[in-house]
Amino acid sequence: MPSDTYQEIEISSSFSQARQAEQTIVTAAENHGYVESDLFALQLSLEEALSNAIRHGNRQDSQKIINIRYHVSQERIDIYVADEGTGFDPTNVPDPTADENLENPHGRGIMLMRAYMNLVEYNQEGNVVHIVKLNPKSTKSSCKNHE
Amino acid sequence: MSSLAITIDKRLGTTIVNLDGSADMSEVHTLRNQLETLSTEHQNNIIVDLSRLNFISSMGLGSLIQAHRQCRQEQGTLCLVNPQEAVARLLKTTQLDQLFSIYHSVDEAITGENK
Repeated sequence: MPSDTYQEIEISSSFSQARQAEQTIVTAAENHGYVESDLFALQLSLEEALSNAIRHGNRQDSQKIINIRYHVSQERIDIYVADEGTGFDPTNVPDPTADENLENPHGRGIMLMRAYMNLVEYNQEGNVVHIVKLNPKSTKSSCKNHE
Repeated sequence: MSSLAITIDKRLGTTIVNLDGSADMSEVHTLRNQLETLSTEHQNNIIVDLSRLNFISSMGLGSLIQAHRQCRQEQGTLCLVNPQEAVARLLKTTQLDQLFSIYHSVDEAITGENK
């Protein structure tokens, strides 16, 4: 589990609260010198992780919470998003870029996180996602687990 | 915090939806509701001007896809205009640049030239 160097935010299954948490982390990254394209990638991936947790994990039950732990340094950003759902198998998600899925309005979140972050991994149950963004300007960046 | 402003113009039988700001998860319902309203009003030739849109996630993209399908069912079209660099990259990453017609300007979208 993340060490005590992590900040923690707990929100209910609310898009407005999730948006505030997202802004807090993006601002922390901005203050650590991440450039605009990294901030877009971070915001996008956070948005996908949090909206998945609200809609699919907690099924928009306002009584259920989402726990966010994050650590931002000049080298890397680590974020864990945990919901109270039963989880899912992230290897069993259809490819949204396949011709037959291109007109499906849903199902792009995991693909986008994988495209924009350096690491996306789930716990065994599939209700905690860990996403990592390395700072390309840092020479010390590594995807090795930072705990 | 950036919010989403939507304005609607009409030109030559086409509805132009101008998006300004961020179509994030706390704002995307505004976009979805607006596009659903246009569908209810049978406005099925739509140009979405993305030149002032600085952020959109998969939920917003889903609303555009849904509207695109609605327009096509009514023999209309929905096309996109002038996405900013980050949004253009997102459309390419998701391969939605193959689903939507994307133009450099509203004028070109109206005439269907220079995609």
